Amino acid sequence: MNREEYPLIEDLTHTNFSFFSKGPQGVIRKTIQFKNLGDNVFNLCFGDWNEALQKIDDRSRTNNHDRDIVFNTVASAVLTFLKYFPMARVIAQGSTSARTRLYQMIINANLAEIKTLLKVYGNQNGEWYQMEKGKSYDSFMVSYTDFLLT
Amino acid sequence: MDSKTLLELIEKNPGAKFITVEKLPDCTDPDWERKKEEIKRKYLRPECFPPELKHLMPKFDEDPPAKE
Repeated sequence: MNREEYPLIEDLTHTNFSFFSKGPQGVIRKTIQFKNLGDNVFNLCFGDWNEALQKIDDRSRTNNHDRDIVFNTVASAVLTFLKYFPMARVIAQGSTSARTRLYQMIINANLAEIKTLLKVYGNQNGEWYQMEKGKSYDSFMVSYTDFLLT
Repeated sequence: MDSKTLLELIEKNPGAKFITVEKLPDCTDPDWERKKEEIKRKYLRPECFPPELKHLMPKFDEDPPAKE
C-alpha cells in the first residue's frame, strides 16, 4: 500500500508498535500490540497509549481528523507483524459495537486492496466466513495466506 | 521508552517509515486473562469454523501444559 501513513516504531519482539497521530487535538501516541492467544492466533490491541498507567486505552476518541492515515499505519503494522509471524492469524474487534462498525466500514472501503495481500474473514454470530462487502460482522480475522496453514 | 524519547527519535530520522527500538513497554492489562478466555470462547471454538475454514482453527490442546 503506497498511502500516507505515520512512521512506525517497533521493538525487537515485532509484536509491539507505536506511532504518533498529529492533528487538531495535538500529538497523540497510539499503540498496537499483538497478544498471543495460543497456537499462532493473536489478538490485535489498539488504542491511545496512557503514559501514566502504561497501558492502552482502547476506548479513547482522538478526533484528530486523520482516520485514514491511522488505518494505513495500523495496516502497515499488521503486514510487518505477519512478515515475522507468517503463520499467524490476527483477530480484531472494536472495544464497542460502534467501533467495530467503524472498523468494518474502513475494511470494506479497502477490502479489494487488502484481499490482494491477505485473507480476510468476518465472524457472524460466532461463525467465521470469508469476508464480503455489505455484510455485518462482530469481529475480523486476517491471515497471510491459506496455503501456509494447510 | 517514554513518548518524548520516541518523538525525538522520529524527529532525528526524518522520512523513516520504520524505526526499531530494543523494547517498547508491554501493555500490562490486569484483565487480559479474562479477555483472552472470552475471545477464545466467542471466536475460537471448533464450532466457529465451518468445514472450508477448518484449517484456521487453533489447536489449543496442543499447547504445552502449564508447569505446576
